[in-house]
This record gives sequence, C-alpha cells and structure tokens, in this order.
Amino acid sequence: MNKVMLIYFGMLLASVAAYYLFPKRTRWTVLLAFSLLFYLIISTYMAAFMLATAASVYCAARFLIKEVPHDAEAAVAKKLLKRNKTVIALTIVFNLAIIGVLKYFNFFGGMFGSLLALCGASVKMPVLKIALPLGISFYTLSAIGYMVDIYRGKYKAETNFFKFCLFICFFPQILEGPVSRYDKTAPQLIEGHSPDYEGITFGLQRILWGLFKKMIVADRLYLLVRTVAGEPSQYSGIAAVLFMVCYTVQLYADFSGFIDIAIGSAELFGIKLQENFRQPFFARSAQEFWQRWHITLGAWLKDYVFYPVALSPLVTGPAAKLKKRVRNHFTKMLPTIVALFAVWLCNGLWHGPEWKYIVYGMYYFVIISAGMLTEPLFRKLYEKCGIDRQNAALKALRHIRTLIIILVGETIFGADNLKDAFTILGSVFRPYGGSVFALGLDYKEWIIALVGMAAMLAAGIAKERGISIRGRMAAAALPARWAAYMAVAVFVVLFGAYGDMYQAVPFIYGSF
Amino acid sequence: MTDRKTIAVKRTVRAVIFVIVLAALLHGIYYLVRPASAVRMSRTRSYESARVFDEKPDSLDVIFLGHSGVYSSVSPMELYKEYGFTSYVCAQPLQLPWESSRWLESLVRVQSPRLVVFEVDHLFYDKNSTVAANSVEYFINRTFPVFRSHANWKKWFSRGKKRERSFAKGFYYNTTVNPYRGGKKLTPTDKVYKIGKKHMDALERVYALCKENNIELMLLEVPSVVVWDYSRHNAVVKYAEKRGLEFIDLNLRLDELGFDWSTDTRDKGDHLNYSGALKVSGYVGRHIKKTYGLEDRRNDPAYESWKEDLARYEQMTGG
Repeated sequence: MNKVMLIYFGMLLASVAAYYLFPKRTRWTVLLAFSLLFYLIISTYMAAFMLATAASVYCAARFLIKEVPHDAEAAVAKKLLKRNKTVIALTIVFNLAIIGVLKYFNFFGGMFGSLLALCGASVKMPVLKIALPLGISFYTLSAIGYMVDIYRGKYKAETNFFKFCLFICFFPQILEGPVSRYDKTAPQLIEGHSPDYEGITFGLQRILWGLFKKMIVADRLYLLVRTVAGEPSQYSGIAAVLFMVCYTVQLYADFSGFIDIAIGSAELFGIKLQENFRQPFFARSAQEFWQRWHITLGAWLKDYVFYPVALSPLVTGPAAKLKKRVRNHFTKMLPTIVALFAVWLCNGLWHGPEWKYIVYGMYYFVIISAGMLTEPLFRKLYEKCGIDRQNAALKALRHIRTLIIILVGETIFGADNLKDAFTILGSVFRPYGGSVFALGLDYKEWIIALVGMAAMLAAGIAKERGISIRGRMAAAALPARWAAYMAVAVFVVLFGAYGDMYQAVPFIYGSF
Repeated sequence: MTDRKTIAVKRTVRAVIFVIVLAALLHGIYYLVRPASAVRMSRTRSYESARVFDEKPDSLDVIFLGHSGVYSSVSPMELYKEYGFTSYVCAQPLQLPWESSRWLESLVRVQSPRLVVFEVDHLFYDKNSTVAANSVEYFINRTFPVFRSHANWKKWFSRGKKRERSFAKGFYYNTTVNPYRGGKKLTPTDKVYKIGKKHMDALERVYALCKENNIELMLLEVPSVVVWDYSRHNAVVKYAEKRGLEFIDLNLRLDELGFDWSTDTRDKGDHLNYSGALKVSGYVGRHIKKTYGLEDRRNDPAYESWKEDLARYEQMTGG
C-alpha cells in the first residue's frame, strides 16, 4: 500500500474518534482540521492553491454576485445580471488559470513551441517542474459548479468561509472525488451527526470492499499491464487482448475501489457522498456506459458544459438559420453535437495534458455522435426488416459491441502514449508465441485475480438485479455475518498485492 | 433511555470482541505464511534482498548496503564474473540507515564478509515523512507480521520444492533507457550537510559492527544526479576522515567510468539501468579487487553454485 493511503487511514481513524468526542455543533470543525492537516501533509505549500480557489470562489459568491430582485426594473436587472456575469467569468477564468498553469502549461507550451518551429522560429519554451496540488481537478470542478449554481440562483451563497473550505477540501473526497455538489454535500458536512451503528458498519464494509477491489484485483492486474505497456512492440495477439481487458478491469477496480473507500469513510461520519459508478460494464451503448461510469464527472459536464454550450446563442443562432435552409435530422441535432464536442474535449483534457486523453475524448465524441445521428436510420431499418430491437440476441450483440468500444477506449487511455496504444491495438490479430503466464502474472496470481474478478462480477450482477448485498448481510445471523467479514479481511490481508513482492501502485485517478 | 444505553453498550462490547477476534485471526494466519527462520531475522521490503539468507553460510566476501540506488547500480554477478569475489546487495526501496544496520546485525551471524560497502545516499533520507512512514510500517509489521510475509501464500502451491537461490544476488536488472537531459553539475562548496542524529547513529552502529567483526568498511556514492550535491559529499568526507574510512564518490569520476546520462539511466537520472550498472560494477569491482585483495572464487569447488547462478544470470542479461 502506498504512503498516501497509510496516512489516509491513520487520519481517518483519528478523525472518526475526534469527531464523535466533540460536541455535535462543532463536529464540522474536526472534519475541517483533519482535512486541512491531510492536505498539508500530502501537498505541503501547494495547499496555497487550494486555499486560493476556496477564497476566490467564496468571496465572489458571497460579496460580488448580487441577487436580482423579482420586482427590479428591467434596466437595473440587466445591469445586475451583466455585473454577475462578469464576476462569474472572472472567477472562473482565475481558477482555470491556476489549473491551466499548473497542469497544462507544459503541454500547451510545447504545442506552441512546435507551432513556432513549424513556422521556422526556434523558441525554447520554459518547462514548469512543479507537482500538482492534491485533487486540483476535482475541487476546481466542485468550486466552479458552486459558483455557477449561485449565479443561477439555485441556492444561497455560504456565509462562513471555513464551512465553504470544508466543502472544497473534505479529505475522503479530495483524492479522487466524487465530484460533489454543494447543495448535496455541504449541509451534511456542517451538520453534526450522532454515531450510527448501522452507518458505521456499512461504512466499514464499503471500505473493506474498496480495499478488496484495489488490492486483490487492481494492483495484481497492474503487474500484467506494466509488463505489456513497458514494451508494447514485444507483445501481440492474446497478450495485447489481455492488456486491453486487464487495464480496463484494473482501472475500474482501482477507481471504483477508491470511491468505495471514500464513500465508506464519509459514512463513518454519517455523510453520504454521491455514487460514482453503476455497474458500467452492463451498459449496452457508449452513452449508457458514461451514465454508469464516473457519474459525477459526467453529470458535472452535462450541467456546466453541455447545457450552456447547447443553449448558447452562439450555437443556437447559426443552428436555427441552418435549420431554416436545410431541415433534416442532422441540422436538428447540430446544437447537441456541438455541445457534445465541447463536453468530450473537456472530458479528455480534464484527465490530463496528453494527446492520448484528447483522442480518448474525441473517440467517445465520434461514437456517441455517430450513434445519435444514425439512430433514425437504424430505427427505420429495423422497422422495415421487422426486427424487434428488444430481442435478446440484439441486446447481447449490443452488449458485446459496447464492451469492445470500452476496451478500445481504455487502451487509448491506459497505454503510455498514443503510439503505444495504436501498437497494442494493431497487434491484436498478430499471433503471440509466448505464454500468458510470462506476462507478469504466474498461474497462482491468475487464480487470485480471477477469484477477485468473479467476486466483483457477482456483486455487479446482484446490484443490477436490485439485490442489496449490504442489506442481506445486515439481516444475516451474527456468526454468519462475522464469518463473512473476517473471511474477506483475511483474504485481502493474505492475497492482497502489496508488500515485498509487489509494487506500490498509486490510485490511478489520484494523479488527475 | 436505559434500553438505548443497553443497546449501545452491547454494540460496543460486540465491536471490541470483533476487533479482538480479527486481531487474533491475523496473528494466527501468520503461522501459515511464516518465512524461513533466517529471513525472519531481518525485516525486509524486498524479497530479492531477503534471499541473501539463502546463501551458504560464510560464503560472501562483500556485502553492499543501501537503497534502490545501489541495487540498480552494482551487480554482484558482474563482480564475480570479472574479479572472482562473491558479494550480495542487501538493499530495499527507500531503505533507511538503521535498516541497513539491522541487516548487517542479522548477516554477521551467518556470514563473515571481508568488506562492507555502505552506500551513503541513504544517510540523507531524512525527510520527516519518509522517517515517519518507515516507523509506522515498522510498527505495523511488528504488531502483525502477516502483513510482511503474506506473499508466502505462494509456497502452498510449491510444497516439496526447494527454495531457489537468487542468481542476481540482489541486483535489479532493468534495460529501460529514460535519459537525463538536464545540465546539472556538481558545484564545489564549503557547505557541509548536517546528517541527522538517528542516521548518524545508524552509520556508527554499522562502523562498530564492522570493527567488532573485523570487517573493512567502505563508503560509496553511486552516480546520482537528482538529489546528490557537494554539501552531502562534504558531510561524508568529514565522517570518513574522522573514522579513517575510504569514500568513493562516483559522481566525481563519471568521465573515468565513461558514464553517459543519456544512455545509463532508466528514470531520468534517479536510478541507473543495466548499461549504467555495468560501468559502475566494472569500476567498483576493479577498485575492490585492487585495494582489498579478495580471493578469486571462480575455480574454488566450494563455490560451484556461483557458476550455475552466473549461467542463469547471463541467460537473463544475454551476456
């Protein structure tokens, strides 16, 4: 296990104890103190950037954005709206500038340098050697979302800076999200909760399940993933397919594993964070996959990128003109397609300043847009051929097609760079002469990995069928319940991919 | 109210019993994965370095102590192949000096080396976070040793099979080339880095152990461009002079080594790759052979196993 997680669990233990020792009214201060301490330990002076975001958004929302009274004169209302728009734009630009410089400067600087070189000018762009503040991609989204909601009048601005700061840096969600919404999370953070036996046991169960996914599955599959990703030209056929499958499962087990830990940790304080996954591999289309995978990012992009772009006069104006001239499905869909382009570009860039992420975003943009544009065509085709779109065989085919789309997408995402991704994808149909047990996982490791994946699949099927495993566990007799908990704990301790013979693998989304 | 209290007390008692049973269980399962006794003496983070205890007693001439820098830079098999003496690298990722002294304490019970080479870079692992994390890990591993040796579950599948000796002898073979392109140079200064007290005490412990067991002690710094600087060099020189020890800083001899940061590092200057290790091993081996006059074991029948290990090593490196 990596050091950040050791610190995290130490901090969690201490903070839960302190939380319930403090009077109910002041319990949120315990969360704030531990969140700031955690941030300072991990990110040291970089905490200044997180505080700058918190302070700028808090001040703009609290003091600069003015409510437009219902009975205000049109001129006054217009003036206020204009002022609010300027404030929100400046605050967003300020915060995007922070993340832009820290995270994207080298990427765009390099691109600019290459462009100049193409024009014949030789300019050496400066390279920033700076670590990223912890969770910057997550808390920036939460802060901007809050700002826009205040502007839209969805709720009132927080009056206490420290309470707002807690919303930004609450330590279980700072590492990998979920990207939280102020109205859903902040009231729970501020309200002092009494210890709830059921909540605490559910929280502990969820943490254990997260550790199972991370240590039994994700960190074990990493051994194969690194072997192939290290020298992709050496592998082909089954080795390339195994990379695609193992990386996809590793990413899911790693990310959803940490989300389980984060949600479970919050439950120990009586706080319910938003869910981020809903059995994504059961999706039957790329669009549905994204409604089940990294749900809070998708929802954020929908609310704060998709709708503003789709409804912007800059898009609706030209689209309406075009629709008047040519009336067909494409012109009807044009605003949606433009907004989708913005969403997927942001999605790709959000993951990191690399071409592979941009291509990853564009890959989904093309697939989802193509699906939307060809939908009437297929509908007519099915009607003409008299095929029931809901028949089982078609459903299965759609499922397989979606899985292939996901595997290709995650290969672009997970390879070291675009060239490697295409090398892997291009080598799938070339035979591989080596053994599958020489790819970093021997047969013993494979057995444990398959047991782990089978458990995850079983849990996914149960959830998909609406069966609450936690509920069933809670209803079981005490000896059975204890035996189950202890079996999972012992399994994780014995077979977890940590310690001497394994590499410490940081949580993948922790670096975004 | 009383009912609520009773329920709360009941639940607390239940939770305490659960924790006790789980702790007992974790202690119990340790016996399923308990390692061989010699390995157990030393606390390890590295399976490869722990296998030093699989070596025949009193068969090693040189022991290398340090962190990842040394297991990436010195290959005992290259030393054996070229100069005939036997050695082992006892190094783990982020190894701290007191871990090195613990290694040596355990090792001198089963080995009688002529020379200990102490890689000095880990004297400067003094960030509070590194030391604190190390202490926490130590505490956890001591309380629940199953966390340390859990990976031995694999031995359940290989019952009857003899544990294999390490043929790389603690060396980490990696051919990745990830060049260092910065222009950082060592600039002489009069500044002297203050080595932490705990770190210095550990070095003194290594020195005392060597003295008690009639072992020569040599200090070494392998090429390192990321953190090494002249104030650290000065600090080691000061200690070496005080104790009359030899100190070789290879960062000052890069030209002599024929070292090239564009081909000899696997991670932009933090660690060396196989190409870099060949250069360092060549230089260090030549120097040790010349200075300490160690015996040539290549034709010694008692060291037949080293020939077998060399063959496997060469199969790995293609040498």
